[in-house]
Amino acid sequence: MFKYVVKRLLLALFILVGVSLILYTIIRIMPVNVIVNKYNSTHQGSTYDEAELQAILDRYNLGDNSFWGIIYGWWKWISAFATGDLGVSLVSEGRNVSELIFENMGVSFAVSLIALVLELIIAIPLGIKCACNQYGKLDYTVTVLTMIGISFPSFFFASIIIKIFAVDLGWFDTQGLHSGYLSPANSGWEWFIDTAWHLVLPIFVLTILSIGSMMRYTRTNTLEVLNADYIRTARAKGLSENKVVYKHVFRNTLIPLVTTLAGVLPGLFGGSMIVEQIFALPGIGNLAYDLTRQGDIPFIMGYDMFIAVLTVIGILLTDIMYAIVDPRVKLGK
Amino acid sequence: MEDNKNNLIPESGEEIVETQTDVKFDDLHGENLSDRVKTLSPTRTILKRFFRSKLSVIGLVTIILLFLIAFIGPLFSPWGETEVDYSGKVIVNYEETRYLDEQGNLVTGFEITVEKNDVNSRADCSAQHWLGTDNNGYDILTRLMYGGRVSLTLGFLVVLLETLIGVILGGLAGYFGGKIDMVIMRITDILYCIPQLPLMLIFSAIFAELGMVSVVRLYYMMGILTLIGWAGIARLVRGQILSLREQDFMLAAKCSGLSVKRKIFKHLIPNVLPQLIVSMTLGLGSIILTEATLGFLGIGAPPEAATWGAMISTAMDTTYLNNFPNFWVPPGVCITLAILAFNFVGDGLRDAFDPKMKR
Repeated sequence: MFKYVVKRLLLALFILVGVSLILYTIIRIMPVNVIVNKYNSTHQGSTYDEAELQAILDRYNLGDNSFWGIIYGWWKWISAFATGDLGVSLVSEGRNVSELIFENMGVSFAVSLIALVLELIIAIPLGIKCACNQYGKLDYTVTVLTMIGISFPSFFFASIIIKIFAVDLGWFDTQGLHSGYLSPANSGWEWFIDTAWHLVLPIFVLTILSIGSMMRYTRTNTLEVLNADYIRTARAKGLSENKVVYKHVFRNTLIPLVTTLAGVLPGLFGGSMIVEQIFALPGIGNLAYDLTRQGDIPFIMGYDMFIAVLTVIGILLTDIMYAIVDPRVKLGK
Repeated sequence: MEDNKNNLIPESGEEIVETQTDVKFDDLHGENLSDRVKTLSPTRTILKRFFRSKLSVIGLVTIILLFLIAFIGPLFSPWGETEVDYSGKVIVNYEETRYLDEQGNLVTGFEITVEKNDVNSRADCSAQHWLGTDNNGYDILTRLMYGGRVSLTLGFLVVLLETLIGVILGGLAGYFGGKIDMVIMRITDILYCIPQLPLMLIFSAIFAELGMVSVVRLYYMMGILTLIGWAGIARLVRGQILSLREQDFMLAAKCSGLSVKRKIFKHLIPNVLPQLIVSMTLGLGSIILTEATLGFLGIGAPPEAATWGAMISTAMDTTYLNNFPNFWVPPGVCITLAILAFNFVGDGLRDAFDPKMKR
């Protein structure tokens, strides 16, 4: 087990180095560059000094766009990354990238976490219920509904929800996190309720869109478990149907489900670019979209690598979880 | 009994019937075993199972309809993709104004402005424009059909290319194992960890700088998507081949001295085909979704090109979101329908291919 984990960690390290090299190269090819844009807008005419601009670019290791220049910049970046330094954002001057990421992560994390919990609470019982009455009326209805849920593009669904609940019914305010008339000076309770009210629609959209796949996954797994020998044994013992389903089937269905949970890591911490964009939430996804379009190279590298690290950890956790949850699985060869 | 037999066996059965030795014998002469026992070829069984499921048939019909409308529809439309309706339009605006007059009474008045526009833009649904016209005076229904062409063709193209690369590399990795396997799998690991949407944002900026306008940019973006997307298929193929490789029929193939190429492409790949077809169908839906997402974020095709995603992105503007649902609801419905249909078909195929399925 220990040996296996060490091996996997080394592999993860290799993957991250590879990802960072590819990302860095592509980002450096990107023509949009905050420094050049800023310099051009502030230094026009006589004050425009090519050498000065070059000097500024060199300070960030961005001056040389030849092959070796990019490799050198990448090397500088990854050495800093190894010590936990993600560099300084170019757009929000003087702010550390890691600071920016953690500051904006709060909203995204809260929204994703609540959506995830709701998703699990709804999807798992529903999936088991459907599997127990396979091809029944409930099964068909839920299957079709979840299919529609899976197929709905998030932006289209969010637009419809905004149109109905915010515009036509006027129940919600869709832009941002707080109503304009409130300030933190208001009572904490009022402030909290207002914020929660603003988060209802994004959470609703995220939950509805993710229920489908989770439910289908649960259903498939439950069907498999229902066909297993030990379930037949349980029934042969004369256990009541309830006991069979809730004690024997349910717990075994959880095995594959636990492992999928590791896969939600990037979405949980990395935010959702599209949903945050539509609801104008000040989350990490929204920030990443803005800064990527502006060409804030240190931030793009920091954010994308943050996602990559989460993905790698997710994969690693999935494999380890398998062994922990299911004692039959032996790790390593 | 005798009559019946004579009918079935006119010539060769004649003499045997005369001898009257064995009835069973001439039975076999006349009819094949398959006439009695209804056996279907595997393909027919799968097709039969597939068509028995209502949802998959609905999905298939929807896909065919979408294709027909997208490719043949524009021929019957009086409008072109970027044809502006110059029939003109009169816009009358009412604005309520309240003010206090000298006596202090509240007076409510209306300010009416009449605006004459050359272009018949933002028209309502009518016989002329079934879904109205958009901000530029283009016919929305016609653009919807052109957008369908782009989405559907690109989806197929990307999935086919992805599968081609994935099958070749995954097949090599699974068959040869060892170093080749390690190199290919490490590449897929890296590709899997690169966040897709941020990468697309970066490439969009690069392609825009290179001066790619119109739909060409979208083609290149989808090319990039192909270059990342093959990793999943390669993993699938590799996993399947790893387990198939150990089976007896592969030993037989090895003993018959078949070439490596033949073993991979004639014996291994066809056995992976069911899973491949399912993942391709489901992949089609997700590609269409990605394409629409890019369009929505404004990083796919530029707005003047008609694509479903770009048409939906008008919903980002609150004016259109609130007052012109005909701008963004139809393309959204089209995207959802297309993805739904591909998912239905993919699901139906998966069930049809699964020999363990009872129904």
